[in-house]
Amino acid sequence: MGEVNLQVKLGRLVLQNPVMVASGTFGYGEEYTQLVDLNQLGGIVVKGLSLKPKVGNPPPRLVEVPCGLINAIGLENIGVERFIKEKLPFLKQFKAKIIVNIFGYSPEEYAQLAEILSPTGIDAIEVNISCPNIKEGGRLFGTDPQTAALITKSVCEHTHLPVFVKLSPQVTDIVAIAKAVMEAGADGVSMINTIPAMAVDIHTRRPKLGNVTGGLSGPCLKPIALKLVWEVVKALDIPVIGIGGITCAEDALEFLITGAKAIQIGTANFVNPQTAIEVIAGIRHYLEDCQLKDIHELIGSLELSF
Amino acid sequence: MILETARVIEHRHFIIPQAEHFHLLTFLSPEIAAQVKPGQFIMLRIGTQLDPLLRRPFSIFWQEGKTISLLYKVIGKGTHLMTQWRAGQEVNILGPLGQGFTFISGSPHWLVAGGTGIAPLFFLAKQLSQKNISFQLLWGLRYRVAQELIAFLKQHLDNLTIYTEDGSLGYQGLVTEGVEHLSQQERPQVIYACGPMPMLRALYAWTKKENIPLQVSLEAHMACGVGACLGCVVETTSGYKKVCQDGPVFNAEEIKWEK
Repeated sequence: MGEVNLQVKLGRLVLQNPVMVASGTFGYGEEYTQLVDLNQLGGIVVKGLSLKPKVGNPPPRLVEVPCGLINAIGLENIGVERFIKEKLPFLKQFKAKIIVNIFGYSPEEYAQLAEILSPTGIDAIEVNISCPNIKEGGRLFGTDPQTAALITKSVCEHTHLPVFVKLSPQVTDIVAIAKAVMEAGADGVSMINTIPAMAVDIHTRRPKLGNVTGGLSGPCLKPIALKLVWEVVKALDIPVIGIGGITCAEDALEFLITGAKAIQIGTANFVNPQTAIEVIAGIRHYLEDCQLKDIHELIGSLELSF
Repeated sequence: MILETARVIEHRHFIIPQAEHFHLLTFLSPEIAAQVKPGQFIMLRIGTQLDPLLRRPFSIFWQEGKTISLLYKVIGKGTHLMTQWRAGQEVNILGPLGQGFTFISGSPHWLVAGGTGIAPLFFLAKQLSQKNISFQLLWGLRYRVAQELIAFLKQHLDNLTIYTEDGSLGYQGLVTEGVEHLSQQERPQVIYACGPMPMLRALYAWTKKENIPLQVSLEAHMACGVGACLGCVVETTSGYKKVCQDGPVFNAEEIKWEK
């Protein structure tokens, strides 16, 4: 049996396989080079960048809950300029596509970030409009279709690169947001971001996070993410990148069958840095077992009759 | 930094009534054993299930040949599950991670431990012995520990002094009181310490007054252990630093101790 085709096209972005590593869970790539062959990945979504470096939230920044992790990192990052100088040259040597996640506090800041990143040789931009940790930015843009579209438009007008918008699950109608950002020019949507959450230490009667609240990620999110992906692929004909609690090939396959064209591995990178590599191999084996020659035969193949 | 499937070769449980309970877990882990330095740590996966989810960080307590050992107490779900591991159990380990202790010339060196904080210092003590550097290891505990554990420790080094808060073993009092007492006899070139934050804070206040360099090994909740998630930061004089990658050992004067 010949080699199966894993290549997918998301708008204008072509990936050698549909498996990426999610923003914030893989640093700037170099942290994992001793443990993971970056050439095998479909894409690396870099830790969210802002115009200026950002310090982040006071610790503690992490708390584990059953099958999940709540984080309140606070978007700490080295800023776009240092990323371009210090991190990007290293990342470029690998076959994985480089997708840079960005966030700002105004449409102008998003536009500036897009403009600065455009000529640097990266492959795509992922726009964070949904980070729940920041009061002044992020989340507010992502909860309203008009502002979500405004940010998307600001980015698209200032770059030739493919643009993906990362959606928050904390909205009443995710289809409306997805539709708005697509009409504003996005190549696709990444979904979902973390779910706002908190945890309390009953002995000290204090919150377990320095920031009080954070974003929940990990395996406990998977059923929720899958349902939201389903809502969007059912209603709209757009490329969806499925994210949320994927820890193994079976999880990834659920998203692909539901209709996601690609997926991102997040929290599972911490648990097993090899997760993405194992997921790619697992998808290939599954296709071979089903005697499918192309991943597109699988994507959106959800059978609704019982 | 390596991902290695290690095998448990020995698991000893030091459990007696009205005492602090410790567990000594030894793995055959040749690749990590060949590289690890005192003060470095590993992240181990509790199992293949999703709860507990994240790897757990542990300082290396001992390294000999192709083996590494951890000395731990049960503090939650993960460590509770670990106590059930028997010889032959395979465990996925990521390590060695972080920056260990920095050797300072001259002697004597003092090693000051609180509770499970003895782990990285015992490994350091081994290397100091091999380098013929004279040192003292002071270990503070709340209550006594099993004699078998003391016997195990003393079999490897004889200059161990124990302090318990209730006086049920060794001297009664805090280990920091032991430090002040010992300072009437000799002056250390450097102090290495690991233990609860109040102990480290008190020790730093004293070393600052006495102008003695102090290196501390810090604990933090971690997700990745390799500097990617930015979850384990500590506030320093030059901003937040990552305990996993910039530490876990820091010069105490770098840390912002005030709360």
